[in-house]
Amino acid sequence: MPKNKIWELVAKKLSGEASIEELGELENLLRANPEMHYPMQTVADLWHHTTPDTEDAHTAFSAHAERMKELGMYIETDTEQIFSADSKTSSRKKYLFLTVAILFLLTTGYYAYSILSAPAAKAAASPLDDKSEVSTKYGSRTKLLLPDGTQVWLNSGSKLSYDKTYGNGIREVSLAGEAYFDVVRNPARPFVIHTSSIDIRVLGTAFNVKSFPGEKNTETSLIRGSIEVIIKNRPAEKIILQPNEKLITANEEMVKESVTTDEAAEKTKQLAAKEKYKQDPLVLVSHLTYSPADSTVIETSWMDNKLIFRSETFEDLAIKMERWYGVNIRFADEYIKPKRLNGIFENESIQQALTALQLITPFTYTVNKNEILISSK
Amino acid sequence: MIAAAKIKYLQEQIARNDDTFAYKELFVSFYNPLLRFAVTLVKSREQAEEVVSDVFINVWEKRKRINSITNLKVYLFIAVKNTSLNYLSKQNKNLTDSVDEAGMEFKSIYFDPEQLMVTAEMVARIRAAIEELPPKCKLIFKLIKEEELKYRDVAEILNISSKTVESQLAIALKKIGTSINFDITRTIAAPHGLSK
Repeated sequence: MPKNKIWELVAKKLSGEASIEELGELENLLRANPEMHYPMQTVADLWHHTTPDTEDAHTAFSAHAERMKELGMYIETDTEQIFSADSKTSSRKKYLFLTVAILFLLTTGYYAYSILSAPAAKAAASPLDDKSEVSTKYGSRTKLLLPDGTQVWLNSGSKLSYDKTYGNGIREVSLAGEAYFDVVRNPARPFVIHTSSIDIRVLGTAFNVKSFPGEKNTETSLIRGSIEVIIKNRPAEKIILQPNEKLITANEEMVKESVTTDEAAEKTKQLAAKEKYKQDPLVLVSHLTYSPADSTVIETSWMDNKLIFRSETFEDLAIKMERWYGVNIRFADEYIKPKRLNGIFENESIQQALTALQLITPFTYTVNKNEILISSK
Repeated sequence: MIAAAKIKYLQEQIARNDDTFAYKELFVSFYNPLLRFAVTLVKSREQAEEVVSDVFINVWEKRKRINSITNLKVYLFIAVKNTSLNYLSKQNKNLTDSVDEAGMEFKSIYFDPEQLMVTAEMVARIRAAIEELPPKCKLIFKLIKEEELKYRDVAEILNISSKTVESQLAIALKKIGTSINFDITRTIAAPHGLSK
């Protein structure tokens, strides 16, 4: 009976189970049975008429998390933030949500000069436990949700802190290290990120942030939307970044230190060439880097568990690898340090990564627990 | 429903990094489908919520091992089914094959006559046709249409053969299609129906 066959084929077509042959067969059968066309079409319309989700899954998740707590299931304390996330905000998130992401690379030669010192001083008026602090060890990365629904991905060796009162007025966080922010848009409550050398103010729409201690520059990369960067020692100047732009700020302390000014001076030359901020040798606006293979943004590749490096000196790469793998890397001699390297590490172990690097440039290494000694011989 | 690759990614994040954010995303993505499924089984909204929550608690407890699950989506549906059946048996409800017996709640399938370009009368007819489907047939239709599950997924979840899924879905569509056809025949027979 052709009608049964037709419905069987229609069912397969609608559920995506039909083969090309079966689709052809259905077409032929419908041609031979034109009266089947209308009911088949209506059933197809009905099929594609999807039911909207009726339940607020975010609210349900809050209830679920509460239940887990009652059952004595503790997920790390950081996640309490996730679970206590304001469900109202969450439910409105899909409407208000404009993905905001700042990519921001902070590098400072001074570990001690933690940006956390600033909020700590400010928090002096209130008890210390009014602060929430999330930090990651070397070799691990985490994600967290702020009370307003803003998402933060924290790269290894980084620290994010904010007041417990976060979101009551202005939304302020302090960052030492590298993080990617997905900020929930709320024009009434601006989102501000403080670092040791700059403040970033989210103006709206979309931006991406990333920051790390232990390097020479601060980098802010904007994926979408608009952000305003205020350099701490020059509050009068505001730099507004456009999508696809990256702001590199030489770290203040580094410049002051005469020993390390070589690089800063080099940067200064480059910066002077840039018309936009040629009056300001400390600031460089450049563009985001794309991976030639799949045009992903290199600045945010760490979020996909990828360590991408382009024309990076071995010395700089070693710093990144230390954070990435949670190891210490030392060089036995200076010879190999300035060697420039390209590559991507994804699932490689530290050993595999080093072996791969050996293919590009000859060196030897010895491993002693977490200590890796690289020698050009 | 979220893409398989995304599920796999979340699964890995949860297993490897105890990623609570990925855990939440997984919960949020599957909450509505799993709740709908649980409601059809336990027939109580409150209990269904508990079932889904229990299933996810179990996922978190076993997170280190969830990476070995090849099809997490199917796993979650099966877990909801088993948890629901356990729940019902604890309440001393006599159920031999509760999936078969379950009276499907079809509130979740809604029709917008304007979008469907059909008359309200026809919507009522379609609705009635769906309601009249045998429970298992109705459930199969619902799982494939609403939750975008594959034949073999539904077969695994309901512990039946793919062939049965295939024929049951064809029966469901035929019954719905026939109700529409009947309506047309009638409309054509009554000229005033055409002038509308």
